[in-house]
Amino acid sequence: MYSEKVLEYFHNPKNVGEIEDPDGTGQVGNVACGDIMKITITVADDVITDIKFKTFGCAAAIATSSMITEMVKGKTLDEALKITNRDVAEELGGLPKQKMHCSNLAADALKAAIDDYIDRTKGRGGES
Amino acid sequence: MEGEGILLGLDLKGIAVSSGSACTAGELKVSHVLSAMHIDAVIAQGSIRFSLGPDSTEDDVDYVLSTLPPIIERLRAMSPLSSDRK
Repeated sequence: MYSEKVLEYFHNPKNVGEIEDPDGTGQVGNVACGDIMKITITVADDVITDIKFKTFGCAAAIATSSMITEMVKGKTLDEALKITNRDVAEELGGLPKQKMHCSNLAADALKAAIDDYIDRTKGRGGES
Repeated sequence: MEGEGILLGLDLKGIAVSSGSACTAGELKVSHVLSAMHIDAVIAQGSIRFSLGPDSTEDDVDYVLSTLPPIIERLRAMSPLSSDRK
């Protein structure tokens, strides 16, 4: 059912964990669907310098989370925001059809983390 | 964690299980039986069905018991929900 690449990423995911004191945090998904992804990022000069994920979900959810962390590390926020859930699935050699909706949320989680970062930076600007 | 992750981990070690009842194979929803029992959805998502047959031996069971815990630990460590839930 899964491509070799999905299984490889599921069994040996990269960038698992949570950044302490991150610049942005994004969490998407819900338990009813069965998949929850949390992404934390560190940003310097509009570049994602570090990114980690924690995911509750199936192999597709874990593989897509891991894949997106590798795709965007070192990229600018603008470049990172252009990546879609479909891009992530394609990079993994495709996902089973029934997994495209619930389990393919990595780009959404990343976007939520970047939005959080932007909100926080604005907040800081407002205070000063 | 979700049942499928446990299933794939066990499969790699030669243990065949199911992450749902036979009548709902292929469905992604939480078991309607576990839901009716008011089992929390997070817990129910991680359910696994082990089946024993006439040819299963005590050694087989011991093998499962030694193989399963590290798989669970790995998936728990990866879950964003695990810090407040065991």
